[in-house]
Amino acid sequence: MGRLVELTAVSKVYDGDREHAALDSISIGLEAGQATAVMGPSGSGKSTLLNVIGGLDRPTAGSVVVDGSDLSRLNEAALARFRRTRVGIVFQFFNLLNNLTALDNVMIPAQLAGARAGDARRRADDLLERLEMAGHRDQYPARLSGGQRQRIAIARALINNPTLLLADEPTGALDSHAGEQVMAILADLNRSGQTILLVTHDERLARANASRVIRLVDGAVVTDRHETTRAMVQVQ
Amino acid sequence: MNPVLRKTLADIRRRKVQTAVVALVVLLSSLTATLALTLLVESDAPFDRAFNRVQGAHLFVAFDTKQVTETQVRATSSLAAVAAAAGPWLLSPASIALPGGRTRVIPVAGRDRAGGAVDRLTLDSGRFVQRLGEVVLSQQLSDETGLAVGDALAPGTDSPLPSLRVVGIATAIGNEAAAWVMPGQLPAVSTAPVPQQYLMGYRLRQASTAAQITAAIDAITQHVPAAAIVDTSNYLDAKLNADRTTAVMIPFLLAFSVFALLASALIIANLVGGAVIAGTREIGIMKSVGFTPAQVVRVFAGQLLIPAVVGCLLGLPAGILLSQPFLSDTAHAFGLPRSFDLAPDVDLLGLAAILLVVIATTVLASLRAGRQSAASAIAAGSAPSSGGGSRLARLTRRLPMPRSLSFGLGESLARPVRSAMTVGAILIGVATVTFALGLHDSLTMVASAVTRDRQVQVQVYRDAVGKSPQAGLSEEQATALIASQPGTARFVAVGHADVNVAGAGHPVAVYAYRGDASWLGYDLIHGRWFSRSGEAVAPTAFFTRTGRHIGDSISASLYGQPITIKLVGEIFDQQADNILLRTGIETLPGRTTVWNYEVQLRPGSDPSTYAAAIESAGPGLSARINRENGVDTAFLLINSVLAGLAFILTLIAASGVFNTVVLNTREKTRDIAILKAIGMTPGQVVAMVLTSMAVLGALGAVAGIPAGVALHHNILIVMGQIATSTGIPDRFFQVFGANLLVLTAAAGIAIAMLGAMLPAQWAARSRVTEVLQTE
Repeated sequence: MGRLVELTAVSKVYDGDREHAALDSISIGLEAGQATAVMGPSGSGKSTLLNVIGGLDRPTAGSVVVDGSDLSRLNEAALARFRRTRVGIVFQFFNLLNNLTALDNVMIPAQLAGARAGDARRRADDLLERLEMAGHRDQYPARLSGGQRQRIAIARALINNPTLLLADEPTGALDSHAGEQVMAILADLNRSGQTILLVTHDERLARANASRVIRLVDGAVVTDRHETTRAMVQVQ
Repeated sequence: MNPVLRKTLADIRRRKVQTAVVALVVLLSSLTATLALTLLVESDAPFDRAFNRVQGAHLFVAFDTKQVTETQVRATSSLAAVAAAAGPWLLSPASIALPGGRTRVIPVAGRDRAGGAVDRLTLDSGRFVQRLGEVVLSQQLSDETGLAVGDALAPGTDSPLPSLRVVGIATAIGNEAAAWVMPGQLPAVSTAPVPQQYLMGYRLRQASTAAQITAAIDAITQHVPAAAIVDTSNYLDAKLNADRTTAVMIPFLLAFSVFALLASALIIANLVGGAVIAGTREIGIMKSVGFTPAQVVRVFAGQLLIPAVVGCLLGLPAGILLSQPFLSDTAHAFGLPRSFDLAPDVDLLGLAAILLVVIATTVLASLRAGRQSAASAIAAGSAPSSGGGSRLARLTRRLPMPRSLSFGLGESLARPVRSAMTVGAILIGVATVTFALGLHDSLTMVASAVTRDRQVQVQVYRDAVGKSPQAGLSEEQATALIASQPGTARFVAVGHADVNVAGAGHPVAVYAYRGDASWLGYDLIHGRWFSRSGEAVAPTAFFTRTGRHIGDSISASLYGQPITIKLVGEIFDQQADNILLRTGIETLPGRTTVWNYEVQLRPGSDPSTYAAAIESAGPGLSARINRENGVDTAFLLINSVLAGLAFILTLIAASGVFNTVVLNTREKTRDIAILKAIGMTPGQVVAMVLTSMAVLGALGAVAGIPAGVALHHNILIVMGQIATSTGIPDRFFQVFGANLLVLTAAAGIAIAMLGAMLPAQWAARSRVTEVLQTE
């Protein structure tokens, strides 16, 4: 498989503080279809790395190429279109729009990309069905549990068939049962060929679900271990 | 430092945009109110103040130099009725050359200084005459001829004066002289048909009524030889004209002041309400650490009152400064000297009113913060909202349109009270623009109807009438001359007479036309133009004064001969005091002398060339181009005041929208970041925000246009009544054509866009990661 993501000497510095770089000249590549976990202590640069790859933030130096697109060459509008079509992002705190129903939340990226409302609704319904959330399609996020909200967020991330799914501590705000259900969904997606980059501080989840584990400390890669056998297992 | 003050100052530092918006809105409001109030106060009797400042003459008397000596004239200054006097100044008619080869006779006074006990001249530019060969022009003559300091005033035909260098432009409160030269510049004996005069200016001990002035004239008359007095003029007519025109501005100045205060109240209430909503969680925290409800109110009120006071303190002097050009224009419009005017009492009262509005709205909105319990405030401020907002907002989000636009539509209705207050601010802005545009168009029509410059381009006067039967052309010859001019499209001869009409109070001027006069441009308010002998039209004031109506026949008399005149039309007419009649010349008994002609030129004919041709071909005829008769500069003044105030109120409305968008986008920071994270482009964010405000702008326009039209209608009626007690022709109301309505509707949306653009761009540029990581 070819490389889907290629980072070359990527650095990220906040407020000119070069002494404490959030990312310190990182060069890594991610294969298509791979499930990769990024681990590290708090403040090690995990989320910054995910943000840079997802086009949510720009590196201070270095290049980031995702699915053939050099993100440093894209303006803000092009970056938005990139996020809309090439990546899906799952956040720790779900980040659903509280004044929209579950169905509307899932449909938005498709509609922003120009899909007709009918097409977007069909795709959203399919995803909600697949994630066992069809019964909650007309409910507002405030009435859903944490696990249910995260499933809606995953459905939203998948609506435009992204080549890369980014998950930033997807189980961090969930109880253990809900967290296992969410990880099972991600594992299932990976088995069907979805490339996933997972940020977590949970050693057990990382080892159980990723075929590759990258460890960061102070913005630098300290270990990058490829599992010999695919370890993504269904936790259920 | 007191914890309330410490927290207040900390909030001001943290909420810079909110602080800036409050300061800006209050600044603009206090500026508008100060400007309007200053104009309002200064518009009250500008003539009286200017008159007293320059020791204006209550009475000017012109004496025939052949009938009286200078010493005799000077002696009149010691009469009991006279408090002070200036003069005598030799006043001599002199012909000057105008562009296009024409000439004009102006009164020139010999005077060696601008100051004096009475009738001090105010120099607008240059200096007063110091030696022979120099001339100072009146501001009016300078405006009409375009001559300025440094130019040469060329003599016309048979002028007693040589070419003179213009060294100054001056304003005199009396318009007795059009130019001033050193006394030795004027010849001792004039050869002109109009005799030289000694001019005296008097300030009288009692001059508040026409009767008192008449008594003073009688006293002067008794003191000089019979027939020595050839002319008198007093200040009452000029005062009436100035007071009446400035009074016309009062209705709309009041309307603008109220608008500014109302818009400010709406915006500030909106702002405080938004601050309380945004600070809900903080209110809970403040209470949990021991702030009392009163202290919470003081913190919220303080963070708004401090910038409000700053805005007021900046707006007050700005309003005073901005009012000066308008006041200067007012002075110019009435030929009064310019000065720096202040109305400190009223300005401070305005300042107090604005602060009262700010305090009232701030405290009322802050009370909500004080009433909330600590636990409920923290819970309400932390938890996600539990629903999809109003039903209408939910429905609009589902409309089949691009998602960013349907989101924007939904957002416009998400907070109904805030949206309503924003619509209110836009409504005021749109109503103001509608009113100002409408009034501008109406006043343009009024100005055109007053000058009738579209219908009559040249007026030809038979100067020799009544002076010397042998001088000049006969009526038939003058008529033939005008008819033979290639530039003449049509013309009508005008005769004048004064008739006595019961109930009119004094003789009524009759303008009698030979030939069809229906094209002269007098707009009909009711009825029709006269079409046969014995019919007449009259202005509103005539009907009001006499109690007559259209269709009535009135009995009048001319030199004892009875006349019956049927009133068939009410016209818009601004001549003299409007107690007059216009009729066919055959209505009057005997042969009425024609004094002048009103001429309409063929398209492409040059009025100056035409006038010059008439004057050179017709002895005793003089021609005036219609615009030389003077466009009422009061119209220009009102237009500039209107434009200035409308602009400021538009800014206030736009800052109201700005305020709302800042509040909305601040509340929606997280949602906007999420939308950007999942692929909304900056352009789509801007479109979403602008759409939300465009809806409010459209609603403001829909409500504001009829409000502006109604305001225009009513204020125009009031202005007509105040100005000349005239009705208003329907045509003057019908200025809101499709184009203007589209323009004003667009103004509502433009105001919304103007206010929303900057915060929309801020929202589009917000950093997704910073917002989402602070969850």
